[in-house]
Amino acid sequence: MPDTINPERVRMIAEAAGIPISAEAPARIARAVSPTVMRFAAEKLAIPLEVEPSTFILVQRGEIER
Amino acid sequence: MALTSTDPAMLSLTELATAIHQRKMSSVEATTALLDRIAAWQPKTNAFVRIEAESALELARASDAALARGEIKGPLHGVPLAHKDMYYSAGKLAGCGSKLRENWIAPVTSTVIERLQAAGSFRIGALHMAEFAYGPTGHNPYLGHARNPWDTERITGGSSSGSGAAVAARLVPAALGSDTGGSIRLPAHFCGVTGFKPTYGRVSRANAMPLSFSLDTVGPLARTADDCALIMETIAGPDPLDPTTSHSPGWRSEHAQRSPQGLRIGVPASFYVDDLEPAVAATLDEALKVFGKLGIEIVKVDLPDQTAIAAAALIVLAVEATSAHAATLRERPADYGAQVRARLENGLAYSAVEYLEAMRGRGPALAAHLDAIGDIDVIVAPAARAAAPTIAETDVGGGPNAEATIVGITRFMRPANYLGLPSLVVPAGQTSNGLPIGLQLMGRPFRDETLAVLGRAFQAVTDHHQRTPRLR
Repeated sequence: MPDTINPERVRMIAEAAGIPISAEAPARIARAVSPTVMRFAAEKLAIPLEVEPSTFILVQRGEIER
Repeated sequence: MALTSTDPAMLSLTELATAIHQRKMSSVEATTALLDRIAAWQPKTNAFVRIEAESALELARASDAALARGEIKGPLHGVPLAHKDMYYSAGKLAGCGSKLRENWIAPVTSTVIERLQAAGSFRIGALHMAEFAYGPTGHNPYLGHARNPWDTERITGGSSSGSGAAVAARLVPAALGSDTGGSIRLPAHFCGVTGFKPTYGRVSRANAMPLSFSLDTVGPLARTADDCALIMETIAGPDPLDPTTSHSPGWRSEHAQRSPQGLRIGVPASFYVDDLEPAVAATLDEALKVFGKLGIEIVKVDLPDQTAIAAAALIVLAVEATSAHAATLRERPADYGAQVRARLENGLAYSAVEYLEAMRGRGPALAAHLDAIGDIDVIVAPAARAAAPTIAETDVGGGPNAEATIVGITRFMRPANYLGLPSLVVPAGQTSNGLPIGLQLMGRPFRDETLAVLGRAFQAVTDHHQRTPRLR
């Protein structure tokens, strides 16, 4: 996972999504989100293979009858 | 129950509902008093986007007539309320704070609105909000900014800007907000009211405007924790239209009425206590003394790194919001305000793998949080580093400082959204120039009632929630 955002990547995702953005937008977006991406990447998450988004619901509901 | 005021606008929700029920005050009297107050405050605060005086008075008269016949709809019989303009009522406007929904008529009614109406309340108007609930300050370039009743040059907080301002100025006794990244708790903190963000999955989001389906929650802003509990009692519980609520217990009044003694409070050793403005730090210290005197055990706690959790929350929010708005971004991008458009475009930066890593990490993150807090019932922390900044200094639009400003204001908010935790903000202090300061009580999943217990106990021995701004 990259720890910075390349403006070219933003431009390509926008194009693939069919969402028009200005020529200056990829650089602005890359600057804006890089701190978040860098912080997230620094975690170097090692999530077990079996974990999926709904695992959150399982953990959460375990508290209902606690 | 003896009334604390003869002015309906000065009564809490619980007091007002009881007064109407006991016919010490009619619904028409209450509605008229609130409409008079709204007329005086609206030019100062811009809290309402629509005031529906005629229909509200008609519904008030019908409520009084029903009561005279001995017909009581529920615990909110005859109480006028107003909500953030993103809760749909079939056949009525729901502007969602945006030009894109100008003159949009909702085809359906939100489950929470149906439940509040079934309990006897009716609507007196609709409240201001940040565009599509995507803004933490209360700025709205399309509808004009909401203004803080304590100082109209300052922000209300958002996105439930009108809900915070209206409850603070005593224009309504309670209002629904929504909270995806602090949108109930920030206005509660900045405006000096009590705000309740429920556990994710506790309250139905059906037929309310979505922002981020994994993080959105629906809850009340009111004057007291008791008032919030009364709304929660009405709206919490399963709803077939919102599968995330399928295991939601209804509000457990017996849990909410228990004594606070024996509860354990955790105070974070870092993050939430770093770089606080002195008045906020002093407010936290004073509040802990209050809880100590109530016989509640207070312990320090080392939480998992909250900055990583906040980053994951931002990724989930950004991608889901952009996905929800993708069609409109393709067709009418120029009709968004600059900040919301810029934030929606930010969501284009993340890859599918990053989004799914953030989503898959949520369960392990919640498990790590629960492991860290052990048998602690509630984490107490500031809601923000400082009291309300000015509208001017936070008017960053979609410019280069926008993301950093937003991240700074919402710093203490996002972990509760990512972890799905219930969180109550209570007024707990003020700055030297009289601006409110709120404290955040974060509970365990589906233990929302414990927050009502602590909030009630705190407000029984403090009076911060009773302070009222004056019209200038």
